[in-house]
Amino acid sequence: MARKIAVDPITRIEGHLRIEAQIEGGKITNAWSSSTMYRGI
Amino acid sequence: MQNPETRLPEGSVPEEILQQWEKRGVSRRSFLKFCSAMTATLALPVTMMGRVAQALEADSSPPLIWLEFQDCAGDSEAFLRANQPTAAEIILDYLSVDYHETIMAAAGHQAEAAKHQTIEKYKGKYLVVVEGSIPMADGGVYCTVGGDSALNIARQVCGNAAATIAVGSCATFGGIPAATPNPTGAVSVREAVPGATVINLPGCPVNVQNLTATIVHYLTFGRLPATDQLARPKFAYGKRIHDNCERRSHFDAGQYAETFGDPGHRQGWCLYKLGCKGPETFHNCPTVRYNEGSSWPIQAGHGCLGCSEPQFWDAMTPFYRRLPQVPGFGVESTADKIGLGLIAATGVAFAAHAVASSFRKGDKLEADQVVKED
Repeated sequence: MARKIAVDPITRIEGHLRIEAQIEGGKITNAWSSSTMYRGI
Repeated sequence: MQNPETRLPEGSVPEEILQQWEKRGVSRRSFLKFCSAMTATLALPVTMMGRVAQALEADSSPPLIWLEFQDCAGDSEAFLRANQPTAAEIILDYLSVDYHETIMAAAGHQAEAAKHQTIEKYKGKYLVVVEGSIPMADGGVYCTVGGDSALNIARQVCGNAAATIAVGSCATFGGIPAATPNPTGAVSVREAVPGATVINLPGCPVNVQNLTATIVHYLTFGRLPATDQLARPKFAYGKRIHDNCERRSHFDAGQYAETFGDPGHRQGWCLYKLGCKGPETFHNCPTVRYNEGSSWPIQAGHGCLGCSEPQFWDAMTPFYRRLPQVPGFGVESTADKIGLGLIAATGVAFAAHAVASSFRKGDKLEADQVVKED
């Protein structure tokens, strides 16, 4: 059974970041990163 | 023998406070330097130095939440790298910084939990520093933290705080994200959360000595320093760059650098014709300077960009052309009534200087020689 976790905010970096990971049997099988801030420049 | 306590001259710092800071690794010299720098920045009499030192000793250290929205972390960097008498160490040691994404160990829901805990436990007592503008367009999707929009976070965190210190030009006036065409609908903290108690410390980045002095003022007197109509503290933004500029005598004498690297520029003449915005910018850069007071842009030979004024990107560009015909003055008319009169006078002075200098040099009008930027 796949489980999904999200870590938001990722700290100790410059900027805003969100990481989502899909876990199956103790292994990460898929992951997504999103930059959650846009300034329009 | 007299009790040494009663013999302390006014403004001196009690020995036991110095010893306590020494135990924490801050030498008495550093601590005294810090207290005197803060007292001077706040334009307080020297006799207040002891009170400043005692305020930093009290046990009622308020927690601090540092929020970052549409930012570049430049203000965080400025704060953390402050080497002016170990300001960061003293303040970080004293304040309890419960949330700061760039430096905190926790991440994800643990970080968010720390924030919510502070809000609940210290409701109405904690301090907030906000860095970066807040996007209002499209439901606030352009900046989210922990799944919530910057606007919602600002409302919750700033709305329940004792005071909010907006640092940098983006949090105070919208800054670069709010420049035309402002696709994300970026606004300042004051616009996003009108009900909150906000003090504005614009600048790109904020001058950390002014931030520290504002915090020290709050700790010493229990309230924020006096501000102008734009919510900027008067101790730091009460005077124009031009008023205290070290090149001012060259302006008055009509001695201008015409291009970068020309003889006038090498001799440290006035940078007004190279686009200096000092005459319409309110900031204490000339006296406080940056990097442990070592230098600041005009000292380094570059005109002021006016980074700490409202709508700075739109109003102050092009940077290398002489003050544009007055849109800047319009912006400034909201700054201070006193400033308004001065500006009118300065406008006349500019015109007089321009005419005088074009006659003297028998040359093309300097406006034709300024660097054009595209």
